[in-house]
Amino acid sequence: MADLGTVKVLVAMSGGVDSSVAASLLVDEGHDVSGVTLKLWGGPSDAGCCSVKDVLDAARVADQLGIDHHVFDLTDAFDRHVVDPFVAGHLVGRTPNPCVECNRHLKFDHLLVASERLGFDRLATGHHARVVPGADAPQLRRGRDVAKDQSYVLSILEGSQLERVMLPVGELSKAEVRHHATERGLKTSAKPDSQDLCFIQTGQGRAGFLSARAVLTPGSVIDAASGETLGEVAAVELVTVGQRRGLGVDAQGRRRVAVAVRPADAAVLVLPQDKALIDEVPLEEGSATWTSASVGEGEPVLVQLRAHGEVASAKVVTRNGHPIALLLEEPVAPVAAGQIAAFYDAADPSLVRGSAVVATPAPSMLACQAERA
Amino acid sequence: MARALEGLPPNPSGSHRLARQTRSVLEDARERVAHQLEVDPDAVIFTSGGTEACNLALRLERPTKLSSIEHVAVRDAAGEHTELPVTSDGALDVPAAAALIDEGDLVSVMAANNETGVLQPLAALEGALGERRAAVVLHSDAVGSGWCRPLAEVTALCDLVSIAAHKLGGPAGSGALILSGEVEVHAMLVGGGQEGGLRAGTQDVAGAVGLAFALELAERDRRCSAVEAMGARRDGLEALLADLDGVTITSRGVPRLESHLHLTIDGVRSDELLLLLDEAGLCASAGAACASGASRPSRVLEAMGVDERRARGSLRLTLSPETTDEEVERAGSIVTAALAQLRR
Repeated sequence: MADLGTVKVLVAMSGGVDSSVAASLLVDEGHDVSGVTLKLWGGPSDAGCCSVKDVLDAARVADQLGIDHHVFDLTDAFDRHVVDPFVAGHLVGRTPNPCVECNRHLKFDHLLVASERLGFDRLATGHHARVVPGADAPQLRRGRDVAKDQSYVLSILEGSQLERVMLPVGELSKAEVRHHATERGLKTSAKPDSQDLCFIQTGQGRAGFLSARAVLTPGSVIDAASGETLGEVAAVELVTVGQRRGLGVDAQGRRRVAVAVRPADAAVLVLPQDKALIDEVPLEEGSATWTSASVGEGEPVLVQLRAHGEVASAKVVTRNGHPIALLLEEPVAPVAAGQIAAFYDAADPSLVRGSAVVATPAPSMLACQAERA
Repeated sequence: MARALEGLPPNPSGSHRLARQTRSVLEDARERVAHQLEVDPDAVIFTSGGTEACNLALRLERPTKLSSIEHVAVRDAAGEHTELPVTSDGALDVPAAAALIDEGDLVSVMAANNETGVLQPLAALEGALGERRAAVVLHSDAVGSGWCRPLAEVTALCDLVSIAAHKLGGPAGSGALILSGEVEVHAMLVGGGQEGGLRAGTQDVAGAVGLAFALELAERDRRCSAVEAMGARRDGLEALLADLDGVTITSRGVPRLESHLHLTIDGVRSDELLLLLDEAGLCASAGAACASGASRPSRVLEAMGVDERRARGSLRLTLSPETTDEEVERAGSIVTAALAQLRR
């Protein structure tokens, strides 16, 4: 990271080891550091009522580092921007990515704006990604630890935001993060990484969470090519496009994959795994974000369609300058509407260019796919 | 507290001379507490604080009715209960409450609200209950009000009163349940028979002495007009803050604890305001916080009908009789500057 001199930094401390080490590294660099823990979810969670344990862990690490620690209650904004759209999306066959939406609306909008109002020069988080100086403006790049890279969930950051963001642990491997925390005796040094959505309890799962908030639709599993009904599912809303689990195999023993989820029709359309591949990904017009220059019509990019997914080569299709689809060089497994397509530079693969939200495919696109099958 | 126990063993329950001396210190403390509260010494059950006292009080097998602004310690200890409404001023709605109370009920109404400081109309409630009063068990959580409100007033009106030392400048971890009437309280802790069998476990003698001292000092502060002076300082600060853009003083003009100043600020979030106040050296709260330290939309303000947006910008400032004019003036400047920054 370029020498910024000493700045006043607010570090979002989740109570995990990565953000603990982010704060520690910034203290080591001599910055004026304060920690803040966001209370995001007001309902029950694995960590107990309002994740008291995580907040207290973060507060203890702040004590150990000798920095101030604050708690912000953003449960209202989290409900509005993350939980409500998560539920509403599932009811129409979309699968939004809550972590991305939390970053987009809470950490890098609400909190970033608040940090400026509160007199902080920078906002830091413990994400494994890097903000590095570019020729004209800061660039967002993949974290050094490829296995832990979180640039996908930060691909929604825009240039103006990057100027105010620090991601100190992106230069370290996870092993180095743990080592640093252990050396400093930080309370969170051996704390396991969080795995699941913070607002869903392990025993409850997505099914329990959604069924407590909406009436779910029992439905049919239908062959997208023949129209034949193949089976039943207890809740259409709990099936995600791209899912194989629970959908059975065809006569040739090929696993079936969900290619469309339609709660309104009480239907899940499936195709055999090898026929379900897509070579075009529709994007929601106007959903694109750019870390610097936008990607233009026909421009090659690398695209990542899942948090820890493979990268595919693609070209962008635009309408009025807005990306509306990706044409993939090699077909990939179908991806659910509401997920994020993260764009990386074709010539500089660690450089994040931007993002867009995956759209529901037009019926014609699906018909075409079914016909080929 | 330390001097009271110098050279003595901590346990007052032994049969030897030193234990007897410790027991004497404990019983002196009990008598001093009883004297302040104008009750019989046997009515004083020492506990580990206000939460334990409330728990002990509220585990009666009776239909339970609570004011809608009770502290979470009372709400959770009571379990299933009916809520008694408050007015938009934050005081118990006495006619509405009285209409909901039946003979045989356990009723809990705090002496003063811990967020707004509003004194609760216990005497009016007693009046409104009329003949039913004798058949109702009335508990009051007086933990937050001892400095300003003479607790003997509360014990005179209620069958059960919970108090704590730390809200009076005494030690945390020391409190008492005052059992004024003939009430069938059930012990939660068993195994030793201390405190008349209602609270087993070796007593915290130093804590009991601390509670007695704290009550006496609070009484002194009321007598020497220190509480009145604190109220005048609060009113001065209140007048200054009331003029700031978007500020509404909660329950202004309603009888309140002289220590409390509660306000809401339109368009400002408590969390952000508290960060700036903390940086500037002013210790304040939003009024309600959970164990994580996160401020949360206050149930008290909700019960008063304050809309959620305004409730998210709440601030509670509390004074003590030791708070000086300079400190109050500084607090006013810090809040003014913080609000100006947040509105920039």
